[in-house]
Amino acid sequence: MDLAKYAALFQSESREQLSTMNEELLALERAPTASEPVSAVFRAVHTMKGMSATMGYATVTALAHELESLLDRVRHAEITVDRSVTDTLFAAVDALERAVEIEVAGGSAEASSAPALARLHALVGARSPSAPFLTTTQEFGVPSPAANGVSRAPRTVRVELRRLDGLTNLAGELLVARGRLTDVANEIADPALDEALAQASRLISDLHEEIMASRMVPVGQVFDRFPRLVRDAANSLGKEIELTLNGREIELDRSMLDEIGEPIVHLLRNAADHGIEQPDVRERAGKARAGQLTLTVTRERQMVTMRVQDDGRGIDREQVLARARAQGLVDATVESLNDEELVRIIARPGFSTAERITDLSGRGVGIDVVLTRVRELGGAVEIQSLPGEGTTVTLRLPVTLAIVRALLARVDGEMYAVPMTHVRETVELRQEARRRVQGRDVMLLRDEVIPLMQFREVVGLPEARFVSVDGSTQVIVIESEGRRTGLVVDEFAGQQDIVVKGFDGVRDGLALFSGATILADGAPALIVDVGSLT
Amino acid sequence: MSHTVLICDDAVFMRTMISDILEESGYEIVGQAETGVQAIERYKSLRPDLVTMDIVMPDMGGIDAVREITSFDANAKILMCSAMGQQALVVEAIQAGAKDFVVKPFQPSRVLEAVQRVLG
Repeated sequence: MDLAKYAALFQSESREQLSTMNEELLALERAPTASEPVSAVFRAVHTMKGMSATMGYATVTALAHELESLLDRVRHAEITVDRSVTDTLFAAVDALERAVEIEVAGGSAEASSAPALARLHALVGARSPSAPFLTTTQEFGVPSPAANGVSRAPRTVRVELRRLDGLTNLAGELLVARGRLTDVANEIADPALDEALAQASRLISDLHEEIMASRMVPVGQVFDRFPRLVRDAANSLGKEIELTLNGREIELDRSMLDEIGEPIVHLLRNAADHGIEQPDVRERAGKARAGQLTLTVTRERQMVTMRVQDDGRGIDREQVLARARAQGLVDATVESLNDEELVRIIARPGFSTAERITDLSGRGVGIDVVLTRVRELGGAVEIQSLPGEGTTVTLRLPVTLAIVRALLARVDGEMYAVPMTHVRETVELRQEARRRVQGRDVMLLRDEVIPLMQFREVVGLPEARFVSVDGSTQVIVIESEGRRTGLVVDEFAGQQDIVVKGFDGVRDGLALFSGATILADGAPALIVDVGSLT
Repeated sequence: MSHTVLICDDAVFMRTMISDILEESGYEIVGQAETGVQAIERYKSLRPDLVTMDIVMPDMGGIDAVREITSFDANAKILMCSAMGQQALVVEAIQAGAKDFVVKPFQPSRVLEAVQRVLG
């Protein structure tokens, strides 16, 4: 039997089982006498054992087998669950996870799994490994409320993301083709053609929507591993941290979810490491010993918001300011920092105020990594921090990477797309509202002074000759990392959902554009990377 | 006409593998189930010639499912698929009405032998 073709299936299913194990072990840690988590972990381990044995993955099988033995003793109350037991279980699950990846890749996980295996063995004791593990299955008939609903669970098929990307792309092209077809049909003006086209058009829209919906997965698929991660971080720092996950059912495009996992991990680690204080420090400050860390996901139309909130010490503005001064990032006369300035400074590559280097963060790799990543994804970051009360970092992201709502603008006859995530507003700027300050063009917008940027200049075109009758100019107020800029364009051309096509050629050189798109009329447009302008 | 089979296992991996082994030899897989409760429902609606049944599954284990199925249809032909270390359970399953068993990890030839034996 050719096992190679089952390896990918084994891997993806093992990952699911591992995620279940972690979740249930956390539940067990919270309620050490509960029997349900033990049964659930047992089932997951057991399933993995059967699969890995079939694949001939010796180390995964051995680990699963020994884990099963330990869980069996727990189940029969021969072992009481305490910290050392849960730690051993967690360590074994980690080893199992590593062993899966190694053995699937064709390597040997024997040596790297030995310590975990030995720990398990020590706890299980001298019990014969071949003894039957179960006496009846009745005990595993966990009466969960979902039991009756199981048969109604939706049936699923695993599809490679590459395939979905292909479908998305084709559906995007189809939208473009529809636009051209509509133009042609308008010229011909034949009622029968119009009717047929209207029907085809609806079908294309439906197809597109279905495909986009099929790419959506609940954020829990990635975020469910965070409680475990925070637990480990807290343990190694000697802190007590409770992580609350809200909105794990919110759906996000798979491609976006894959990209955003790492920045969120970064924020959680930052909060655990720098935000939340040691238990005794918290107690002295009149706070609960356990720090509260919350990750909340909410969705609003085509935007999703992720908020990481801690009730720790807050960002030390004095320290940030002192270091910023020392690095020459702010004027020596600046005495305090507001939220916007704070973000700008800590977002600088390599800026970190960590006093010591820990395993978790503080290697000079700070929030700048998060900001850069989020910007690349077409999103925005906000930070609010109150001394002694905690820090909240809010990420705003488009739901999908494949389609972006954009404001179209015409400059010298060419179309450019500005992602709506960065558009604050559009303004018809009258001559009276323009000023020159320190040799720079600025605009006044409700008491605010916003620097102006000529898009023509940015793309290397001569200055516009076109002036409207009343002398007004079209300005897009863009915002990135709290900074606003007025982008002067020739003409607004409305909003459109655009299908993003990345390109690599320009990314290495001029970092002005993040991609390109084909508009409904078939014309190409470049997508402006707002972050690079402000 | 080829024999129809219902495959019950909580792992997609196992279901795929068993299904591949049997389909290659001309059996028709008419359904799959991932829990004991589902297995019973599917048995009743599909009436397959043969059922392969995992022992440890969520909500209702394989042995209880065997009991339910054989009490509904005394002639049901069920083949237990157990992992190593479950010998005691296999005996219980046979007492509950299962006709034979194979032990994971599967050898395709063993699975086919057992299936042929059960279908007799």
